[in-house]
Amino acid sequence: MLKRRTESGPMELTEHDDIRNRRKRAVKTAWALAIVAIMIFVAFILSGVLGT
Amino acid sequence: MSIESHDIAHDDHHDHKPSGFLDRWLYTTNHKDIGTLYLVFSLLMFFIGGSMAMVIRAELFMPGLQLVEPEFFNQMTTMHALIMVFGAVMPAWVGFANWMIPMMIGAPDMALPRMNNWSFWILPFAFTMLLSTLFMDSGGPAAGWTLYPPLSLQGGQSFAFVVFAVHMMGISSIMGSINVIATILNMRAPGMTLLKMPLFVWTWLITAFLLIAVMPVLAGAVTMLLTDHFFGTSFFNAAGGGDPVMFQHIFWFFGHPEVYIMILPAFGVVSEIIPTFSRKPLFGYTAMVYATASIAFLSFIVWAHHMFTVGMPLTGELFFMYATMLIAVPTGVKVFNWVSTMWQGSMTFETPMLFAIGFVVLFTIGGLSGLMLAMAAADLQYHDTYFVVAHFHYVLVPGSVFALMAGAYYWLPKWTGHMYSEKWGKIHFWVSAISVNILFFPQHYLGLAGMPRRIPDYSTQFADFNMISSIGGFIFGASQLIFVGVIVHCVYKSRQVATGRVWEGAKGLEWTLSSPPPYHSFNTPPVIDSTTIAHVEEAH
Repeated sequence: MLKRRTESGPMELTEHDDIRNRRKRAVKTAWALAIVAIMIFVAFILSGVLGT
Repeated sequence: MSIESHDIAHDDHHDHKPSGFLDRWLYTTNHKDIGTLYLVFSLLMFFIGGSMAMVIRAELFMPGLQLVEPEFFNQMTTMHALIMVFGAVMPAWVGFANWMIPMMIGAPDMALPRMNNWSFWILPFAFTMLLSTLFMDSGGPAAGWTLYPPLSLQGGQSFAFVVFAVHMMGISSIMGSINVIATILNMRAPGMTLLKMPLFVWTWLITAFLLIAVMPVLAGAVTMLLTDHFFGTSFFNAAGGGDPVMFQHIFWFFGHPEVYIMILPAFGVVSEIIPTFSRKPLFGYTAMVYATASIAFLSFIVWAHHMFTVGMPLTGELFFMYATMLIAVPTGVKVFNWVSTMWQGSMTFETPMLFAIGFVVLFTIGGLSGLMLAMAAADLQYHDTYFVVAHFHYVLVPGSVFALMAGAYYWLPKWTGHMYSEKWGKIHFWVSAISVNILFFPQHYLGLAGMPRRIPDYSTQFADFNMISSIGGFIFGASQLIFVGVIVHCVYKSRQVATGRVWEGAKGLEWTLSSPPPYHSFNTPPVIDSTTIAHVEEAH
């Protein structure tokens, strides 16, 4: 992988830094957050259903 | 490596910008184009919401009913708030996020570019639907932006349009937030650790989590209103065993964090601008990050301070009162750090800095009146008066809107490649800063004297301060046309070319790019070192 010089010495870019892998991880993050949002929506509707 | 040498390294001279109008703007997945769309849309909404404010202030110019019917006045107050909150301020911050976050963290674009396009293009339809209710037989929503039942349920068929519009705005916000979080967590350039990120990125990361947590709550609340109105349920109908106070709890569980959604990115922008024009690193970067997170956490446990007059157990009042007052601590840390950053700095007062300083001073006034409102015993007097109107307008107008102006002037040369007119920028600031105080400061006195909010007529004892407030409102409204003039001049007429690092004291990755930045930037991740990190202590 590409090696680059930084102030703290040479830094090696790994598979982890590859843009395709980063985009894949971003999609996973997005799905996890979307599920959380849907669960909050359902939970508050249920709070109304169960509370009345 | 010097900052200037990065300019060449990150310029992609093969821009591949779409040539057709529809390709460029309707189908775009480019974060800069989508940022521009958000900003233009929010400016349009700012003027539509502002024109409604002008109707309100014109009606209140003197006692008596002169211009509009009371029902239409109520529609104006409601629509003004909905449009300013969901159409102007929030989309403007999403526009800033789109433009700046990828450039600040060294990413080539947002993580989910197609969803980014979708997030934006939902909005024009949502607001067309919301505004269309004004032309329907039953009129627009008139129960205030809080949509409290039973009043909100007494509207006509147009209420369904309002609910659907709110749903669409919410979906747009949630998708935008998911994109921001996914981008920040996954797309940072190698070496850009979380505590090296610019403060604007930090404040947006925290804001995005707030949005994901509370927008579904609002969606749930308005869905229950919808079924109560049209499908015979009784979530909030006392006659059917429901509880209208439950709506208030649910609404404010969304509504209070919503306030911080509008102000946290403002904190971030001001934290970028003040160090630049003080030519000093930000004082207490880490403390700023933790203060932002603390404010976000506290915003979830203070909602019932909006409901002191509803009645609640004494322990509840005490909890919400002290929890609310606690927010002053991290907020005070921020104000202290901004002032300390300026302290002994080589300060200059270009337009972004003027708006940033105006923000610090005037937002603090709004924060202090918030502390007064936090006291349960005192709130019984202030509640639903113009004191509350004065308080939240100080936080939102010379607070959030001034920070938006500051950010726009700060990054406009970067976005366009041209310098704006400094002279007209300063005129815009001074006319805005003076008129906004003429507009809102007298409203404190009106509230303390007992003038209720959301009324089209009032007792003659309130006449003088209302007239002063309205004059300030007209001047403030008109002065925003200067802003439009400055932008149009900067984009189309200005001959003064902006350099890559526009401001002498500016630090951060975005300033390593040319002005305007290439259509696709940071296709190769940048090297992160002390010259490219926004907030870093100077080497001694």
